[in-house]
Amino acid sequence: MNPMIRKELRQRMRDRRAWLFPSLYLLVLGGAVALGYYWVAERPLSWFQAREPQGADIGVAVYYTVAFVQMALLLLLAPVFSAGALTIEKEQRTLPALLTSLLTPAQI
Amino acid sequence: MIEVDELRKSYDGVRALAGFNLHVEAGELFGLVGPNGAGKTTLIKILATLLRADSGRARIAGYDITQAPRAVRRVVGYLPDVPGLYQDMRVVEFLEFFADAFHLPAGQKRAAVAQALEQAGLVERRTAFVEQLSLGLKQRLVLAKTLLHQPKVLLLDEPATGLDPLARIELRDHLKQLNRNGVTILISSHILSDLEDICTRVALIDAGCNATDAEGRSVLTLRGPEVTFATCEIEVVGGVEEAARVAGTFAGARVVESQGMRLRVEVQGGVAEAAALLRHLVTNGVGVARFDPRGAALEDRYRKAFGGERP
Repeated sequence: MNPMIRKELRQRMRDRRAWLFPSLYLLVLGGAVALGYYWVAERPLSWFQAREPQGADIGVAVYYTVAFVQMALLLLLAPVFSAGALTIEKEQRTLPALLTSLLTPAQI
Repeated sequence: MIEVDELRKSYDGVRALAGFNLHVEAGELFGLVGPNGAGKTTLIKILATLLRADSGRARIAGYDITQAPRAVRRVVGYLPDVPGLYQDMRVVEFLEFFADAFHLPAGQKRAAVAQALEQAGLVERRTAFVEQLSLGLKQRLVLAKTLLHQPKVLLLDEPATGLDPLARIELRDHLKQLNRNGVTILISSHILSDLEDICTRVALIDAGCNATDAEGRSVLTLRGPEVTFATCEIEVVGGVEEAARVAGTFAGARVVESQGMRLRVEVQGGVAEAAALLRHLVTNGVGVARFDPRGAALEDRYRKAFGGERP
C-alpha cells in the first residue's frame, strides 16, 4: 500500500469529525439512488414506455445511477482533496521531506 | 564526496548562487557560513534535489544531482532549517511512515525504527503524539527520521535554530558521533562557536559566491596539520598587564586583546605551541584560571571576511 494513502487514512480517521465526510458521501449517493429508483419505478406510464417497469429495469437504473454519481463525485472530490492535502503538506513544511524521500511524484 | 562546480541559481532575476564552488572530502564535517541571503539554503536545497540549478554541476557520492536524483536521495539525509512534523501522528508512526517512504523492507524497517527510537532517546515516548514533544525532542526525532535509511551524507541547514543550550550541546555531540561513524556532514549555521567546535573546515559564502577572508582563503581549516596558528583565550588571576607582558615574551605569540581579566593571544603553530604558551605563563608566575586554545577564532575570521558590520 502507498505509504501516503496509509498516512492520510490514519490522520483523517483520527479526526473527531472523521465520520462526517463518509456519511455525507453516502447520503448524497443514497439520495441519488433513491431518486433514480423512484424515477424508474414510480413515475406514470408515458407514450414511450410500453409496459410497467420490471425488477431488471430498476436494477439497471440503480446500477447506472450509482456508477455515474460515484464518478461525478470522485471527479469533483479527488482534485479538491489532493490539492488540499498538498497545501497542508506545504503549510506544515513536510513537503520537502516527502520530495527528498524515495516516494515518486505519483505516490505523493 | 560532495563536489560543486560553478553552481548558479536565480529566482525571478534575483541571483541566489553565482558560480559557487565546493569540495567536501568523504568523512568530513564541513561548515558553511555567510550572512543572511548569502545562498546557503539555496545551495543545500539544490544538493538535496529540492531545487534545480540554472547551470553548473554538483555530484554527491559520485552521483550527478540532476541526472540521478533518486540515487542521490538514497545516500543523502536532508534536514531543513524549520523541519516539518506531522503533529497528529505518534512518534513510532512518524518513523514508520518515513521508513516506508524510503522503501525499507519489513525486517530492516523494524530494526531501523527501533534504532532511531533508541538513538533519539524516545523509546519510552514511542506512542506519544509528536505535538506533545518539546522542541529539543522534536529536533531529535527529525534527525532520527533523517538517519533511517542510513545516509552517507547529511545536509543540515541551520539545525540548531531555536534549540536551548542543552539541546544544542546534545546535537553537536550527536553530529560528532555520526561523523566518527563515517557520515560526511555539510552543515550551515550562524552559530560560529558550534561550527568551531565540530567542523574540520568551513567555507565562506556571500552573495552566492565563494567569499574570502583577509588572507584570501575561501575555505578555512579549523583542525588538522594545516592549521598554522591558534588563538588562546586566557583568564588570569591577578594583573592582566603583567600576564600580557609575559605572554608577549613567548616566541611566536602576539597579544591580540587584553580586557578585564581576559587575554587573547595568537600563537604560531598548533595545540602543542598553545600548551607551551600555557607552561610559559605558569612558570613565569601568571595565575591562569582558564586557558582555551580554540585554534584560529572563527568569529574573528568571519568578522574580517564579512566586514564586521553584518551579524
